[in-house]
Amino acid sequence: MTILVVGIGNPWASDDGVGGEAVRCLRDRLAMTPAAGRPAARLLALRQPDASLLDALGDCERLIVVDAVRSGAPPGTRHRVAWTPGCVEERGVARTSSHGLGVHDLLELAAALGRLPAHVELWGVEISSTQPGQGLTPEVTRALPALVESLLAVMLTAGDEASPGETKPGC
Amino acid sequence: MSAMAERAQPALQPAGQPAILSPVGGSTANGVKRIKVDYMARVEGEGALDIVVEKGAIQHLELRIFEPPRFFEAFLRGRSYREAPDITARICGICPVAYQMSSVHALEKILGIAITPEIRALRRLYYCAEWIESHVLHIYLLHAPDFLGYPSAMAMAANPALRPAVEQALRMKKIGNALLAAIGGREVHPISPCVGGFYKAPSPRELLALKPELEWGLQAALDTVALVATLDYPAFEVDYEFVSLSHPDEFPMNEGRVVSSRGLNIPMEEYESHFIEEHVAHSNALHVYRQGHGSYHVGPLARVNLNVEQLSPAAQRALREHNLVFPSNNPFMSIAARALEVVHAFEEALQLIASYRPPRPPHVDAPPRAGVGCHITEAPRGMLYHRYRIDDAGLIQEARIDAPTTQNLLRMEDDLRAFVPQVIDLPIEEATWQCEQLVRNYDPCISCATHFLKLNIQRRP
Repeated sequence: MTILVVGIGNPWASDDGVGGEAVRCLRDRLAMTPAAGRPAARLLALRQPDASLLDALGDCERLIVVDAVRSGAPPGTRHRVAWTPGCVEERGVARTSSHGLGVHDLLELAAALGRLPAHVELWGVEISSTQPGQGLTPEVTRALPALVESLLAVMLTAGDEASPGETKPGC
Repeated sequence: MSAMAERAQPALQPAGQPAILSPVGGSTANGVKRIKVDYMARVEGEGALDIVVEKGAIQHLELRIFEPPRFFEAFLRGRSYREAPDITARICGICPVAYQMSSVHALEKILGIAITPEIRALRRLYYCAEWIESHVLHIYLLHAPDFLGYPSAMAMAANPALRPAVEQALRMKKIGNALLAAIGGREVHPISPCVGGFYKAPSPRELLALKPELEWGLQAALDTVALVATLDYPAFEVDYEFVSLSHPDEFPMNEGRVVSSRGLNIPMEEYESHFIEEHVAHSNALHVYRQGHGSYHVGPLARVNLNVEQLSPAAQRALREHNLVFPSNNPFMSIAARALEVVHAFEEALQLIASYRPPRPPHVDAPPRAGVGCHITEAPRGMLYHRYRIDDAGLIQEARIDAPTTQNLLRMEDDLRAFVPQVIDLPIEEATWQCEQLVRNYDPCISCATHFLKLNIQRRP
């Protein structure tokens, strides 16, 4: 099963960059894995959600989007939800961005265009700061290793799974 | 800009909580009809519309802009003139080229820099890229859903009959972005343009590589005109004053005089004598009006109305073939004007690439000197005015930026005043939607428009 992992985040807005940083760590981690055991995966880091995500989908069978989350949970909390059309509310999206397409818009658009794979998951990390500047806050940094290991575990077992394992229903 | 804030709140819906209700609504009670749109969708930035009609007469109408003030003019003070194109590019993620072009031209006037014909041509090519990506986004993803009766582009794409059009739009926008990145270094907040030219000019090979896609794009743009020509345009005409640049030899982008449909014809340097910027209480964006005349209309419809004969040959043919009539006083025709400009931009881009000679050196330098300079270029949404005062060391002492949406805001309110009586007897949801559509005719970029708020604190002992 080909997996596409897309980390989204602005690396110059502190914790907002957690998605891209997760992909960078995952890439390093995969490089340490013997070639024979490496999963069939493509990794992509985007500084902002844009239509290149649609082009990157290709024929992937599973999409994992890693992004910063603010839900009120303690910083560093990891979220994981299965995405289905309509499952993420539009709050803040429709009114803050029309010139760009948000994650929500991109996934809805990809679904409408029939480009989404059967399995789509949103992985999030609760953040505490989007202040200008590089670097994650300590709470978010501490969440990264476990996040990367979970991603790797999912990638290594993906071929064996009929559906995403521990995923909570998102809606 | 807003992308970061938006993604910092991806708003995963916690299980068990209801989805937030649509903020759009209206009500009818005791003969009073209220159209209330708390958050305008499919416009950039944060704005709201509030209209109260009582006994058939409008009692209250406000297009409120509560996008926070941006303070860019203040940020510029004390910075080197060389930073102006980089700082002002951040005002907008969709039209950074416009901000860069207005700033570099204004500063070149102060420094006495004359750019070479090669730099001039490359700047036009650069502007073509921005018109393509900005206009295509608005036509297909923001505006067409209004005409075709869909709440969003996503809903439109779900219709198999319209899916190819959305796929086409995504590819067209991608071509615009690729051209913008080839010249500017990257597609969002590009980095190559500088006062005097470009830090680095693309090689002919880099630009020629885009030719096949641009050729496809020209055909797609012609198909877009064919599509918009079939739309049902609400019958609504306004006796506008249209204002745009005009140039004797070309469709206006970076150069020209300021002309209007009511006979104004002035050099750019006289802009501030004719166009007055003022603050109104209900808006974080300033309003601009023409001295002694009132609101006016800038943007693609103004440009095409005032310069229709300068459109490229393919755009001219498309216009005739589909019986599109310009000048037009119907603001809903802005989508057709945008489509014609996309044809023009693709066709001119192909010509410019065919005759491209890299500017050598890529930019013209001059030592700093004190002075004041202003310039207007045609942003996708209309005239963008910049004025700078710099000192002997080249540090910016004062900056003024009039974004096109700032100039159109008063016009949008005036349009709504004229339009509301026409729709107020419709079911309130339908009336609300049509009012929103009227505002979207202007492709308003509220983030660009909210840039200054004068704060006056008096301290008394």
